[in-house]
Amino acid sequence: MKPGLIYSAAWQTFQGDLVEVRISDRTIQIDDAAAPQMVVLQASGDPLHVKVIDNSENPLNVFRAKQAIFAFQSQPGLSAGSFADGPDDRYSFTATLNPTGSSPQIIFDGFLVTSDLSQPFQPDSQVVTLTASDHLGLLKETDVTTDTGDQFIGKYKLIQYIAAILKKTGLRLPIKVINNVKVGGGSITSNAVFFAPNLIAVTASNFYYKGMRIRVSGSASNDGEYTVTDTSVTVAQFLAVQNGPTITAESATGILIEDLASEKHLYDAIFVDALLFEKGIGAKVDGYEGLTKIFKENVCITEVKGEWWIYAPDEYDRDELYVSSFDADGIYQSRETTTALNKLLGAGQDHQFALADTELRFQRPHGFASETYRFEYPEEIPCNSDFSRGEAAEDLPDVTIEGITYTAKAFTIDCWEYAQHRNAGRPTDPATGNARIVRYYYNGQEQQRFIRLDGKIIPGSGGEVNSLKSQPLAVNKQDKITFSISTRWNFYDFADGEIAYPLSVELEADDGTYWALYEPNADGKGIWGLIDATGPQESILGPQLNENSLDATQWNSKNVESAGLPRSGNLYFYLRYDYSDDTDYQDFSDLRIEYLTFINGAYRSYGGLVYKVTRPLDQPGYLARKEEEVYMGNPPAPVIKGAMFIQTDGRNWLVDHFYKAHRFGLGPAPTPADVNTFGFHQAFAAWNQVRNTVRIFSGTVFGMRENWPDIIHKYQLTDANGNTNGRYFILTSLDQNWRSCQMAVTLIEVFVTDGKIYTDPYTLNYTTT
Amino acid sequence: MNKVQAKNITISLQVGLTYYPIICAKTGALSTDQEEIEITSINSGTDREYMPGMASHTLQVEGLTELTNVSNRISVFYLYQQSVRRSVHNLQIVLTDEEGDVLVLTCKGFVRTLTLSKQIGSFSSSGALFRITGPIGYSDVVGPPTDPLCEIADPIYALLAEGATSYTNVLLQAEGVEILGVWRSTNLAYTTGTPGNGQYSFDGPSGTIFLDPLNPINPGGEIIHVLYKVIA
Repeated sequence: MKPGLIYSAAWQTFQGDLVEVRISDRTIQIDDAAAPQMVVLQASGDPLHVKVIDNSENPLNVFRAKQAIFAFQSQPGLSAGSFADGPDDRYSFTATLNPTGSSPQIIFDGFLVTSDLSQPFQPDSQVVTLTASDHLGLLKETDVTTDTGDQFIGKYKLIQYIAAILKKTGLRLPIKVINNVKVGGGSITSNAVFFAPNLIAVTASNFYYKGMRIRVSGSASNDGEYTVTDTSVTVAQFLAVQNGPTITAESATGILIEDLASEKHLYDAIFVDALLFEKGIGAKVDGYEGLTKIFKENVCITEVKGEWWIYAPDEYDRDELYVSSFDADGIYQSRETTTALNKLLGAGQDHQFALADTELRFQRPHGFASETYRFEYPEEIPCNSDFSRGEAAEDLPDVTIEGITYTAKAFTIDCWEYAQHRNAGRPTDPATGNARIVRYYYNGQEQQRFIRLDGKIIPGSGGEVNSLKSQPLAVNKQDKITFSISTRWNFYDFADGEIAYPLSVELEADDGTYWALYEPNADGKGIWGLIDATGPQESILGPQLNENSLDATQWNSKNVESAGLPRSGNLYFYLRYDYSDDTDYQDFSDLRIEYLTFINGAYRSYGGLVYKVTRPLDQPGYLARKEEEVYMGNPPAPVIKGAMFIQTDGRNWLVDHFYKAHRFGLGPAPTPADVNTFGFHQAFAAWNQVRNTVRIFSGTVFGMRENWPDIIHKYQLTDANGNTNGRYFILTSLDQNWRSCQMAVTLIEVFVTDGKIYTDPYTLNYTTT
Repeated sequence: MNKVQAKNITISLQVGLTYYPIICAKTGALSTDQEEIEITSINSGTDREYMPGMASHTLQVEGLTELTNVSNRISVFYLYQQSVRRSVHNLQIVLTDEEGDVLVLTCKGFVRTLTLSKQIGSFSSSGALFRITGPIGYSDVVGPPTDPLCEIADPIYALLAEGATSYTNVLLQAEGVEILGVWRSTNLAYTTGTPGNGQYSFDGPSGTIFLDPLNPINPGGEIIHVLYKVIA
């Protein structure tokens, strides 16, 4: 199917090219084989401008959203009102250069914006002005959700978030990326001693990290791929490995060890938990803010020639540009090395300054650049912790409480699994009953919400218990949790001394051991105990009710503060259906969990990390400062929003090893100093933009044919002068006139041939705020 | 000589399939205004630099006022009518030079200004100014002028062998060659027919200068000097 009504206008540019504008009414659809109704518009004398909306002169400004301003002459039946009704994506707008030529080029692709249509309220013929947007700005009115509108739950690749957000613009465009920060360090040559069954001793280096998947080649009998699970350094650096060939003893020299994560694009290798985009339990930030969190202080995004371009200004230097391609769904396609984005601008070139209105300005050099990564903790621990999300299951009988009759409904529970869980590692069987969110309504408003478990089973030797299991929570050793929950039954016949244990908290440690949280000891802290993976599920926490206690049919709370976790791993919460013979159901409510990370020797004492590059001490007097906040990084705790992971062997690993492959022609990092945290590379990328005096040129450029100047190009100004020689520039603003072939531009210097510096003083510190 | 007299310029407007002269025109003017785009750069020194920009054209006609389209001429009152005035028309300018060669310029335009004036003692005059939209077409491509030939060519010095009574050179075969002078030991005079002593004749098609057959080139040879020009 395709639009069946198309408004079109065409004109010739000053340089002799044909431009055609097509506005398609998407509410009228016809078969692909049918011919649409074409309505011809008379373009005005100044028919089309394409301009960047956000003209910030910060080269790292994330959004370079564009709009197209199209003007045509009104006539009876064709005016601004012809395009004023309907949803935001009713009228698609496409401008094409040389549409009937051998290589038509898309000048702009977007949608008309109703609020920006205008014309003089006078008799025809008047100039009607239509504005089309690439909808990047309208992402502020969308949520970070999947294509079907569902929540992202868990960890996804960065490109999956990026593609999902960009599709909310209504445009399904390919994605091009110029950003070659890579995970790991590429490859290294090392001597190695292989110890059966799973140790490799290598020359000590910061090349290695837990969770990396390596390819060994050049050994006599141990070539293959391995997963590194530990990188301890004692006498030498020992790599504990798994999921690889059986190691046989060998001493080898000059073997090549390649990091397979480095072979992927950053956006295809890095996973981030969807809680990065949390705006409260069950809610996500808008798409505009979502992209800001991913791109801030690293890359910019714009639309050029019908493609999304995500580009890192830090890579615009004298070397080639490396462009990776993804389709609209975020599937990696290819990578190319290109000089096609290089542009010469100056007298006698295809593009030259015109109208003698070029101004030269300067931005003063800075004293330091710092990027602050704040530790933000998710409110929703674990997923659906407030039991607000689930699909309608059934209507329940009305309930009367204290004389008030409530309508009751039952819902499924997102994120939680109800089954016969045993200890982690043992098989799980389906539950024998149901777990539901029960809501009571009065006059259509929710008055009460809780979890109800039913389907009691008599435990056998296998220790089967119906329990509601949470999503995993990644934890670090020594972290703590505090939580509270309330529970009740319809009936519980306690025997003397009998204790009900409706709650279980278990740790699946990275080292393969399993731990459970037990009742608090003398100091009031819940203690962790090693459990047998083959035994029954440990029932270890409860309100300690007995027949002499409070009424079990009323809500009773349990509050626990745990001791520090004994291992790193994944934590699971189980709401257990614990019962007596006449119990029909068990209810839970008000689950509250607080997670306390242990960082730098203290619990929750630090607010974030500051990556800072300063001018050397022998260069005083520079007072300008660049201070920005970033939202992704390498925190010490996996639960912190924006923590970056790789996935190896189906498991998520925190990763803090990155290198700027662009500097080395996409080859490996040549020295250990080139491998560092993501924040390090962000900080130096920002620093290298502000450490020198920056030249800024603003003026009019003439020359717009099929390879017109645009935001993504890299410019050299060929009018020889001390302010242009050896310098490279990018555009931060443009206003293209597609009749006169003139464009108003602002060019900012991003590179000068004395190169970039990666050795200025760099600090990484915790911040307390 | 292909000069164009003013009376041989007709400015017409198409009505239906026919072009009709506009007004009883006494004067007319076709004006083209070429905009300029300044491209002065930092290295332009003391002289500004420009490139041609967009062009705009107008066509103006003035003549005697006639009430109607008599004599197959467009009256100014015909042009005043809204349906005519607010339409884009095909316009034509026909120029005929004194040799009968014709150049036709065609374009589209619409009425921009109409004037009707009265002056006691003379006929009423009216005028129309048309804004031309789009380019002006030419019936024939007006090529650039040809390079002028240098009339007086480089002189020829040639050594003739003993006994020679003629001299041939391909340069002298060109159309329009006129011999200005021929010297042996003395300047020779031109003659038609068989040259005598001190004379020469010239045959253009063969490029040959004939000397007195009774007075051939002396022993040891002689240098002949030919000065000529080529008239285009």
